[in-house]
Amino acid sequence: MSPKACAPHARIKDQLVAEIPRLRRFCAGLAGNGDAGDDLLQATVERAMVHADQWQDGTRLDSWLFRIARNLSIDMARSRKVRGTVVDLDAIADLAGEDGRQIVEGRSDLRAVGSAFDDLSAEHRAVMALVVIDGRSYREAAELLDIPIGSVMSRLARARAAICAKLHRSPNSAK
Amino acid sequence: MTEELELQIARYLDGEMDAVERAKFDMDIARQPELAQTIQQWRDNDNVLRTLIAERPADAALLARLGLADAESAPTATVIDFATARAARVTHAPPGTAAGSRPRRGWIAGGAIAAALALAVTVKMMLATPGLSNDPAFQLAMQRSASGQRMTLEAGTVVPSLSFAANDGRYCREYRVEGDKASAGIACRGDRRWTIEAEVKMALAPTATGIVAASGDQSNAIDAAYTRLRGGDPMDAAQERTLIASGWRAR
Repeated sequence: MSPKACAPHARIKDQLVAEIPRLRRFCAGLAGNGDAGDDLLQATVERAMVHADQWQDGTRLDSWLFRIARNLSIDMARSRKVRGTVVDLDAIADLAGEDGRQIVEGRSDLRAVGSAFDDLSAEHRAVMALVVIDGRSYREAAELLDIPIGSVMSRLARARAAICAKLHRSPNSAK
Repeated sequence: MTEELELQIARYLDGEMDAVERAKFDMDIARQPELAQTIQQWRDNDNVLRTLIAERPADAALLARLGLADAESAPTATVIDFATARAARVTHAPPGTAAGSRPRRGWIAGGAIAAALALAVTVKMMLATPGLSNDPAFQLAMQRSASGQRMTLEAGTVVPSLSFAANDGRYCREYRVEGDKASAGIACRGDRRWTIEAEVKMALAPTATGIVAASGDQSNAIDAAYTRLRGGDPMDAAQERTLIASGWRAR
């Protein structure tokens, strides 16, 4: 038996560090908020380290971590309502300001998209975070969330339709 | 809009249609301006979400908080490893070019494209693709995406591949566009927007012989622009991040 096999923590730790940027983004998507996302990230990493021996070498670490994050986010959502805007909207909106509406529709639309996303249910945010933001296939998302592919598809459609509807209700005068 | 149509749009945007279904849906879109508009709105919203909820590297403080500060591979917060990216360029450089002696400018056949398909010859020097630099998503990608990060365009996906400073004070980025209209080029940040300085189109064709990167013409077009701009070495991820945060103001 190799020394590493005796120390699952050491085995997993280095690989875990490499997964942090994407895991962090996924957590931000699930939690719908930068700070809440990092809280979820921390809880995920802690649980992963505690249960490091449950991860099987050779399987995808990222999917295992995403699944932990997903389960934790359900727990957290039950215990308290997690909400808020995502990241530095003003910094991003500066971009729009320079070219008027040329680059993106404008500051109010950026805000609207962010807040419409936050208003989605956790289930809808999870599929959006996996497919739209992380670029997973429907099949991967379905396996990761333990739901049928058809549900992945319908949630993605519903979530986008909801975001779109919210944007078009927002008054144009705010632009 | 019917639920059925919403499902179709989702699968269209997510690349979950096969070629036949996709072609058929493209025809539907061409005939229905309203449908086209809805798809564009959904696509724009997707892109905004990708920008709002971007990959954020872990800094030392976060790693400490996560109890990972002592891990051997604690990264210097890289989204993309430039040394590896450069090495990849050398690997994919077309046969017959002195790739080894020009590691910095070896041509990229690059990532996903190269893995799946070979690049066949049809490369011509050309003016920038009409419309590409006017695509809001392209501007957004140049402005906000870290190298290696993908953003969906109307036609394909754009990925900035590296950033550098030109001698005239502007900042420039190499990019590649994947999809039906695959291309690669250099865009530089002017006063208000990103302007394409050079671009080559790539025709994708599966071949049995593995990667046939473009002939010398292809890398020459980009190399010529690079030389004209007198570009410096590619930036590392930290420098790039700083510039993204500050809006790429010219020096």
